Amino acid sequence: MSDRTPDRVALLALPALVYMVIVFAIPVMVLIGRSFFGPSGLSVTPYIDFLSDGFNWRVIFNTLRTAALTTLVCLVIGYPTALALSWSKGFVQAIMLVAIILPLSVGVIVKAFAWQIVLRRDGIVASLLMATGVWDEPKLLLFTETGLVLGAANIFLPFMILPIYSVLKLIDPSLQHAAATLGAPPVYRFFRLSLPLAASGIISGCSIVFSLATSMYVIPSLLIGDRYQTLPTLTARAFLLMRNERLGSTTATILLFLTIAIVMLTAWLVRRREVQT
Amino acid sequence: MQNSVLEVAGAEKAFGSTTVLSGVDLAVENGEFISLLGPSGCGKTTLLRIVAGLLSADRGTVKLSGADITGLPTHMRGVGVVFQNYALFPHLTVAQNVAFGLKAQQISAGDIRATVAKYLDLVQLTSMADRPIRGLSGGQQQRVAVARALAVSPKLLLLDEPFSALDRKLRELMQIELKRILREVGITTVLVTHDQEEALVMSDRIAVMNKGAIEQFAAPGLIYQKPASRFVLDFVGHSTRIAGTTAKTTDGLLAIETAFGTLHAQSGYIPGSPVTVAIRPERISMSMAQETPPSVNVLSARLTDIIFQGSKYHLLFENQGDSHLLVEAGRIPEGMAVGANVHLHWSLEDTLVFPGAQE
Amino acid sequence: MPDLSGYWLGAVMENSRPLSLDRRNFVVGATALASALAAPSILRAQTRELVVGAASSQKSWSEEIMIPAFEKKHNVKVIFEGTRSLVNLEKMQKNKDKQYLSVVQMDDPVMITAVAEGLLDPITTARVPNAALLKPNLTHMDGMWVNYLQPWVGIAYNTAKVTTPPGSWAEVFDQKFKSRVILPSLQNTEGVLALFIASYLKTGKPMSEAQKDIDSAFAKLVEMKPNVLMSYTQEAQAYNLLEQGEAYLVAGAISSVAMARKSRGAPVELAAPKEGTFSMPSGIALVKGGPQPELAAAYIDMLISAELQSKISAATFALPVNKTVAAPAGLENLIIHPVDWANVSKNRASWVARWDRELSL
Repeated sequence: MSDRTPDRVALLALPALVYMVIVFAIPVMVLIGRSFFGPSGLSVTPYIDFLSDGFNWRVIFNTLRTAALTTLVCLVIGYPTALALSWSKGFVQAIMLVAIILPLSVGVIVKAFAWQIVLRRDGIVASLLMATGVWDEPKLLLFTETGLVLGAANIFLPFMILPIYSVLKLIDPSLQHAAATLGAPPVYRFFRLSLPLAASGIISGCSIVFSLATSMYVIPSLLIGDRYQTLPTLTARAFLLMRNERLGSTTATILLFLTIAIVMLTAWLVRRREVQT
Repeated sequence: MQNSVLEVAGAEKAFGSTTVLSGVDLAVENGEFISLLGPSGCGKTTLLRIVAGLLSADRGTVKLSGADITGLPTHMRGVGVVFQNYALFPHLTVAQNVAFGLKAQQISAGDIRATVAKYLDLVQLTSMADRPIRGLSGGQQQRVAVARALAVSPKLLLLDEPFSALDRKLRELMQIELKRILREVGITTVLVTHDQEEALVMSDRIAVMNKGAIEQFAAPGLIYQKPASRFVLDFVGHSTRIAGTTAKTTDGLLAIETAFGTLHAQSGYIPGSPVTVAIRPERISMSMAQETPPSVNVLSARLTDIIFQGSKYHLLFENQGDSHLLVEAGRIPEGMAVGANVHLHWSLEDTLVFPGAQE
Repeated sequence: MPDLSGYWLGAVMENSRPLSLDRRNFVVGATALASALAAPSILRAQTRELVVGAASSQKSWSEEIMIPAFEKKHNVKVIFEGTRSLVNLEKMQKNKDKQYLSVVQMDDPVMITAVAEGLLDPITTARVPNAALLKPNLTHMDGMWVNYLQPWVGIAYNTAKVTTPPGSWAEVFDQKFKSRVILPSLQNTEGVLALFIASYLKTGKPMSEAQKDIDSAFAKLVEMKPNVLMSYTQEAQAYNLLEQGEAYLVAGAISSVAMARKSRGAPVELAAPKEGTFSMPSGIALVKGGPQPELAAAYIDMLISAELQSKISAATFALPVNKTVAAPAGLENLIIHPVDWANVSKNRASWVARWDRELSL
């Protein structure tokens, strides 16, 4: 009887499985299929064409660079926030959680327009930097990579904070005390205790944000425009504007595999380091 | 006080409007093992956290080997702690846990390896060095925690209820084992516990705490035989208590009128004060009514119950229906049975008097 | 190089909003498509109706000026199916044997495809007398379609930031507008027109010649890069930036869009450069085999009549197509140069690809 229990429990995941197969797995297979099957049968010509163009390599580089920077900004801002969230209690924690989750209900387009107001040359950020003397004259933030990264990080921040928080809140606070009583200074505790313990949360947060950031389309369209092409904007244009499904499938497939490869490789490297130390 | 390793003076701490420590002084000699004993909420854990630097006192100073460490952060104090839940690092192995504090200091890898091996050997966990923490038994976890704390050679070791997570058999075993280890290392130790037996078994001296203050700080024997307050009497061990009122003092001998008749004690009270006479139950002798009592304190009572406790007996006596007296004995005197009228008597030294007539 | 099917031509040539399928348009388009694929004739035949496959961007003046006048005169109900050019083309393709659209409004490049597929009837002076009064260059492919208005492309500027109206396209390249200029993306039709103007400025050739010299166009745009704040695909974003003062100029601003912002009180003005400019594609045609052919002809005839043209051009700040009608005040001397849309269709994809490379950050 007990042998069958796991099977029954697995059945609970069936609706999700069916749903994902229909709306995700099958379309992705079709997409990948289309990139390999042209009018003249199976071929990798679209890949060769795409990858033999230097400009497209720059597009791939842009995509990964922006995603990596966005992930980094999210991590730097998100980790302390998650820490504060895990330390806070009761009402303060509830307010913090609402403040983190509620912005998810604001549409990306609204946020992009808000960023336009915040980042423009007479906007809040520039005024602040001028007032504090960091800047002598207003500099361009909008429609630059910096603006794009800041905007994207703002939108994806909850996806970094929440996984890290969910791990941090499970860590026994007396471990920090124990480390301190062993003579370990704060910086040492951070790198040898806090970070390794939070590693699984950080890996998932980074994977989610990186995946979202490599595949974002609306955000770069609004915050940087078509002068900074990424794989998703190229893909969208291939489908929507040029009606070239094969090109679009090719770029989408390249994006998919690059993202999966980088996320898995990073997770593997971190885990391996963790085991060694 | 040259020899004091730990010196706490005038420590006060309040959380909001609740006072947790109200001016605690404590001095622990080099190599001494002392216990902070008291019920939950008495402030013993707060005092431990203040000593470790995990909490700052509102007022008062903490000195370690003569140096004021009141404002020093935890990691610069050199005070080791074995936590109640052991707080072992779950991502590290047994040996890595022990090495953690050593690695934080600039110590060569070879020295670290040697020190870790030494302390693992001390706690007899050499064979488990590369095991992950998960899967260790409670006793093994405690030994890792002790080895980890000792490995960095602290000046003082604090043990925060270290045995509470263990079952009774293992607890007794570990108490002896821990005492052996600490004696071998020769480290000054403060144990925080609510378990009087643990404190009595392990300590050179016990500080009994109540409501944020130390009521008595003395050797275990003294705490037991001469409790300084009614609280210490009640918290440590059993006692037989009889309510009474003081009468006149003759030749230094205070007469106390009780429901069992007049009792005497070497104590000074104004006549007419309500008091409680207390005797440790194993200090009471019994004899059948016809024999001549050898002491000034004697009373007769009817035996109502005999409770067998393995190595000893608890006998319950009653007089005029409502007063119950407890006597502890290794054996039951011949001919004594439930219903018998018995003379109970004890020496003057064993007669303790506390103010107030509540039993 | 991706092949140039009629499909993507239509999408590319869409008026100014190539990628936005806003919900209203989508619903209107989807409903229209659905009813078209059902049995349109049964639903439509009961009353005297004329269905116009229209451009949704032309909705406001159509409903306020054109349709009431036409309905009153001919006692007919006009169904205004406002959508995108491409959808209109699809409606005609799907109902080739039994058209329900009588008149169709589409961008000029899509018209080329429709002509090639034989979906249109020629507009003759016999059926549409006012066609004789059209200005030159506005009757295409022997009358297969005509232009019904000339919305033009100018320089929109923020009146608070720019006090002297830019009188020439050359001013857009002035250093004082460093990172203050918004260009339309080449994905937008007005972006193509901006490209031609760049070529004109580089070469000094006549506009008709300049639009063939795209190398020069890109050379000029690359020179201009320091001035470019961004290139827009969403006009709302561009005008937001302009009105907030982050941008000073939108070079390649469609007259109807800029004037609509201005009329809502935005600090925006549109300048008509002295070199002249181009007009946005805005064609109208008779559907071959469509119902009510006489009414259809009458609809186009009324639309290009002197009376309607003067009203509509005044309302939209576009140039009238009827040569007997005067241009709105201030636009009397504005020269509109013809665009070779066939050339645009042929080369658009390569231009877009080149734009990515040469104008990238």
